Amino acid sequence: MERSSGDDAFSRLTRPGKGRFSKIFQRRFFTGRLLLLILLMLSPGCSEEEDQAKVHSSGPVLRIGTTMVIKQANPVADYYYNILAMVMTHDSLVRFDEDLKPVPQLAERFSSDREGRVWTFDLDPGARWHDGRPVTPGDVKFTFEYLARHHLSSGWAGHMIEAIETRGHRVVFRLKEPHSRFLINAGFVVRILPGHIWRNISDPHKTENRAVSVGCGPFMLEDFDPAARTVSFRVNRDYYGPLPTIGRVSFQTYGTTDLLALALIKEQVDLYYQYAAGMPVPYVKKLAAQPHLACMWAESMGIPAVLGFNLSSSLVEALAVRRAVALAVDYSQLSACLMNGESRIPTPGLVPPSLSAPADLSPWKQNPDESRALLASMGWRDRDGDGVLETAQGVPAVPTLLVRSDLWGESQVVKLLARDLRKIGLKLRVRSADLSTYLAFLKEGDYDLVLFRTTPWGMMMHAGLGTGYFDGEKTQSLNLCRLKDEAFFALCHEILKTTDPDRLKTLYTKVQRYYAEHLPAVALCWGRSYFPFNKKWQGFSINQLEGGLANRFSWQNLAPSPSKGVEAR
Amino acid sequence: MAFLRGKLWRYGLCLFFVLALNFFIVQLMPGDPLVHLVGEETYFHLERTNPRALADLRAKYGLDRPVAQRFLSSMVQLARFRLGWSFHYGQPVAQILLYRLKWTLVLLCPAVFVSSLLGLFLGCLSGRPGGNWADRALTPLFLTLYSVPAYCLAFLLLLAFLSFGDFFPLGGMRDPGAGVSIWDVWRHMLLPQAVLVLHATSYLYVIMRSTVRQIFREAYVITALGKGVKPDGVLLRHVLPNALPPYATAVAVNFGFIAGGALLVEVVFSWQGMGSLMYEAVMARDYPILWGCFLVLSLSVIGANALADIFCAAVDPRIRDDRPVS
Amino acid sequence: MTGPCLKRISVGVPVLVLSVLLSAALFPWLLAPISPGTLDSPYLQPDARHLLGTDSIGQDLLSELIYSARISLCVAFLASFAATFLGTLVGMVSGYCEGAWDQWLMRVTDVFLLVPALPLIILLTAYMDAGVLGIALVIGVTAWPATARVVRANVRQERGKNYIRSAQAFGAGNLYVMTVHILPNISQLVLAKGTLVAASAMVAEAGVSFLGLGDPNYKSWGAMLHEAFTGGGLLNGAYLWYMSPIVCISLTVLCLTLLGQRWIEADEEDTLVVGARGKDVPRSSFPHKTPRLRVKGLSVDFLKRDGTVFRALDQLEMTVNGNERLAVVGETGSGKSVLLLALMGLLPRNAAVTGEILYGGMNLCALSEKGFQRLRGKHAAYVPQGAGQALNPMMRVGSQVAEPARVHLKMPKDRAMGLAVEMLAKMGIFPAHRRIGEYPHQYSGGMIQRALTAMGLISGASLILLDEPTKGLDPRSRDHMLRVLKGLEQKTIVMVTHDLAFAQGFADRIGVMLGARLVEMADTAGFFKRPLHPYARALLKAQPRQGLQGMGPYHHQFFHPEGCPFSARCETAFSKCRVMPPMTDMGGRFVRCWRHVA
Repeated sequence: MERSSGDDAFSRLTRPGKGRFSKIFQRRFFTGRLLLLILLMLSPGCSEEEDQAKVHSSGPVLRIGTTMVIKQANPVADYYYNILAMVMTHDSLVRFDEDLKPVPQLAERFSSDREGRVWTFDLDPGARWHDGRPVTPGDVKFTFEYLARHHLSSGWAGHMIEAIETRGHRVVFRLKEPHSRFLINAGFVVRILPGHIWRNISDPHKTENRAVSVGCGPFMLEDFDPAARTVSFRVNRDYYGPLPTIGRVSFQTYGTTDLLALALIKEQVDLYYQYAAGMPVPYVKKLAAQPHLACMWAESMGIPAVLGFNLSSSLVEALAVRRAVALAVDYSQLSACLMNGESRIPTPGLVPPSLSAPADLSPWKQNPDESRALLASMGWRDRDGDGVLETAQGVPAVPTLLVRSDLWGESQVVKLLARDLRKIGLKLRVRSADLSTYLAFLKEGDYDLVLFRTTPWGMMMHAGLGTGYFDGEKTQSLNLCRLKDEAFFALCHEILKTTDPDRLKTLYTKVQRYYAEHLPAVALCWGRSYFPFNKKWQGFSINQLEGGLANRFSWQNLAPSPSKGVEAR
Repeated sequence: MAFLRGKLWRYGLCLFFVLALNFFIVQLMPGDPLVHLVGEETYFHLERTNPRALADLRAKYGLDRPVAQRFLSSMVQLARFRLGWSFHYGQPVAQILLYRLKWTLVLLCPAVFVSSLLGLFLGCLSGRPGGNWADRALTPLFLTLYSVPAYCLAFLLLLAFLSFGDFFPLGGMRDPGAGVSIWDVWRHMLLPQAVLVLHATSYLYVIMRSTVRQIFREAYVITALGKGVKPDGVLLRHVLPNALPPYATAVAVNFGFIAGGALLVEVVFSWQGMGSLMYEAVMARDYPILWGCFLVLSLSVIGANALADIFCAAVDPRIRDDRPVS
Repeated sequence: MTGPCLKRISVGVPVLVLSVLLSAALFPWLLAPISPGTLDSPYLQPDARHLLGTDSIGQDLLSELIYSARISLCVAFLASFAATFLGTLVGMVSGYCEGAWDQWLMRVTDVFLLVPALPLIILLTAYMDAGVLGIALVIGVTAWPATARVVRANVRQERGKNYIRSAQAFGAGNLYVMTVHILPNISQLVLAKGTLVAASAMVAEAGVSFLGLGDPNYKSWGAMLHEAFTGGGLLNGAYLWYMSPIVCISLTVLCLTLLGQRWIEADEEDTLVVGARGKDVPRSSFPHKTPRLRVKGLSVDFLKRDGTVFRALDQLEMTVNGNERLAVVGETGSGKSVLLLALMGLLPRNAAVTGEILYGGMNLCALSEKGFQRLRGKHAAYVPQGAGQALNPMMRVGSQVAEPARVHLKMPKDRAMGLAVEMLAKMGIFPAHRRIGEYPHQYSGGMIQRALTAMGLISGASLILLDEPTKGLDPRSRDHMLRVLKGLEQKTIVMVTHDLAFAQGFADRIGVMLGARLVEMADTAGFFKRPLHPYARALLKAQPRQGLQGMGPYHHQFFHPEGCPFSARCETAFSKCRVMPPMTDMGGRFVRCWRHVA
């Protein structure tokens, strides 16, 4: 992207297009070859083979900046290391490409019966763990069983799977009920672990065994340095799949998004990566103005900000109260602050248009008067004159809002929410914590409102369209809103049983209508995800499920731009 | 010696208080004390996945035993530096603390050393009688610096050096992708250390200056001046030796302040020491870590004070002979 | 703490700044240009509408700053109030009730002083999930010990004073004495301490809020910094988002510190010794013989901090011939010691000296500090009083005694020490070679006096100024001192003393000082035979040898501040004594009394 000034910077952001890229690639490749030729002539004794070997082993390092804080290199215990494991070191049975089509990974072939109750995977016989042992179907079976036992958010596996059989290189899952989305809910999300290492670890959260980082992916952990906050990986030369084009990748954690953005500007890192989130939009304009940076973008599959209601809290269990809260929110200001005003105002149907055909719902519109009227109809009045309403039972309307402290944008949303709710007589009590503690608080259930974002994979999981965030009773994972409506569960169940596209379409519309009518949660903002990177690299592809530009598809195509020198380290 | 005996008693009591504080905070909080012993996340995690482990922990911390017995056993645990396990880091707390402490000390020790010398020198310079230029220039400067909290100073430097090319990294301890080199660490250390040195010097300067001025009022200084010793000689031979013991105490007290201030400066510069650890622990409600940080910091401050007392005893003949120091 | 240059800044500036901030805290809606609910685009650069720009949600930063003042100041003052209350209570109880209570309270204070404050505050707030009040309380609980210490020290001091004793004698209860008598006397100190605690509380609150531990509903300056830090202030060029809370915090802390320090130092006099600012003279211009010392119209005025002037010496006229021994007697506060210090140029910086001191053809009053340094020790030796810390407690006595020899005679160390041993032995300190290695605290009061005298004599100065050389000496040592001093040759000696008998045995002439003036000057024999001034007569009468008799009754009717200072107590006072009498020459004797004016 060329230097561009002012407002049209956004319109000029590169969208990945095959034609343009290949053209550039050809042109640069030509000049690159010319340069190489000149270099070869200048330096006798240095053969072409040696050069290529160099690129593969110690070659250029791709430096990735993030704000994810990694506390231990343990893919089961550490949420964020688990993300890195997905991108770098650990393979799953299948992956999904940007069009959300399954592609083989550890499983060369996969199939299911017509119902979706029996799933069969044929493992790649060439797959090896980083320590050289072969990946066996036994490892797959072990992983599912181990996680079901030891991993809090993987309890669903035990409820879903009846039996796992292994034959030669084949793994067969027999499910208790038909599950048409097994590939995304299990095949993609479960990173297969080496049984020979994990078998001896009784508590994955309490181990000092360094071999827990061993996977079978294209990269292996080289160094985890909590002092420098870096995690670096080097290429696994024995990888059974397509070998990555870069030799080393290092992740650097920055304290704030500000510092990370500055590091991008100062060329201390090459790429922005934050699981399931693009660069916060207010930064993008500034970054895009840099001549050495480029930015790719896509309509977000996740929702940047969702306000959930704890349906078992007495304060917000009435639909009228939830609607009053939803109507009090100033959506356009939220969009202005979080998305630079570029996003569409969300509808009550929650699901962003990038995921499915919208269910013909009109966007939210702020209406404090209607909010007040709704609350008044519930008997909420300010009896003691302190500016805060009391419920009909005389309880002050001070809802507790649970927030994550480690995400960019949360504090803006909280401030705006506090202001908007104050206008209708509600006063927020805010509890903020980092991700892991936030999850603990969620399970404890002591909150009325919860602010969360949905990730692209989160929108896909369970029956899709974000149902996984609400049907936690079944999945044993998150149940942010404590939804206990059998009608909703039945709807999800029906989706999971169906493979007929037309039927699915109707059901998806029904899900959105359900969200709109019952308001378990309100999307505060829909958006775009921007992924900035340094132009000295080329060949990135976006994969929102894997979190951005750092993904398995990029590793296969990524290369230094020929015109820009990438110094080898 | 009676002096050090008295001090020992003082430090012992302080140590006991620091150790006992954790116990009482945990006891006084509403709810299950185990939540405050292992942190919310671990507690709820174990409650769901492994209630047996929770029961084991309960038995390990002796929550079913009488209070007095529990207090005793917790003291014994602490005395053996067994601070528990952090589930967030997957490591024993003591191990994490020692690792982080190392990095904080890397930052802190040179800062304390340099600022002590600077404070001593500049304080002497402008504490001398007479309206000297040093006093006129330095006192307003340091008084202003003293009023700016250390982490605010950190921000000011950060903003100032933002545009100064790449020499000063804006945070972290090493360059991404680079190997370990002292030069690299030093480059990263420079800005946070400058902040700490400036802040600590401002305090020590003010202390040293007023100490020197006060000593210049003492009868023996007039005696020395009356002897015809030149002011510089008076400063070196008479004022400085008398100013050193109180200055050493001030340095020790200041060590506590810098340690506290360094916490926030570390957060600003993403320095992975005790401060960032404490910040992360607060966010994660990782009580064992939080508590351990407090313990280690208190121990270092108490240690610094004890060192200062030993220094005073070594330097001051009156303390050696157990005479009152007026 | 504040230097002389800072003292010139009046209290007005900090008070003005603080009151502006306080009014922002009390009436933010009057000062804030835009109400906090009104939002504009985020990250706007400063312009006419938004003087400081907008933050990440489009709030006007200036208004936010003004609205945040409330919580910042509120926490600071609440915490300061809590800490000051607790500290004063503990300090007063501890200082007033000595013994076990004091011991235990001080141990508790020690503990809180040693524990690092900020980590403790973070620990407590994290455990407690504290709101604004909670944070203020936590800060207060950690900040009281310094106040307690200072209050205790002052209460102990007050407690020993007479008015407290008499109040107690009249049967006043402890609580009554503490609250009615002691508290008002330490109130300024408490106020000053409270101000300083408010400053540190403000810093602590800002730190806690900066970490994001504050209550998100109530914004303070620290919380603004937190938001700037986490909300993209740096990259979006919103430097003012950082700068403005930093400036506000620092300015408040600075003002509070300045005010507190001023109040603490309000009654501390500036008694630093500072050099004279006259002209330098070459080394050679000092005489080698023992010339005459002539004092002409010497006045010394001390400028007090409250602006009043205290005259310590008034129009002093005096001549001391070469090799003469003069003893100046008079009661404490009559200006005797000031006279000696003025001769040595050792007066504090708030003293203004006028008149002339002529010594060997030089006017000492016009000397620079350098010039005085050439005079001191080498030509004129000053022997201070042994009481107090006249010797450096950190230095061996021998080194101190030998110092003039090393400085002025350029002696190597071992020779100077040998000379010191000799001098100490001469002054009757045995065994001198061992005693020189000891520290002043190992010496008795009398020994210190003798060591000081030895120090004065060691470099062989021709003019010797002695300040109460017999204080604390037992009769034997006193006689020894007398013998030593009388044995000195080729020296001009001026001695200030209370000891008339010693003066009689030692001096050629006696001067009597009263109320900053010389009232009589006479040869020793004549003076003791027939003192002329009524005050001198009274002095002699008061000597034990004459049978102890008190001063006469008070005759207030003839007393006038401008008149004879003795007229209030004088038996022979009459109406003329309301005017200061002139010095009258009565054939070589001088007296300042109307009764002797012909």
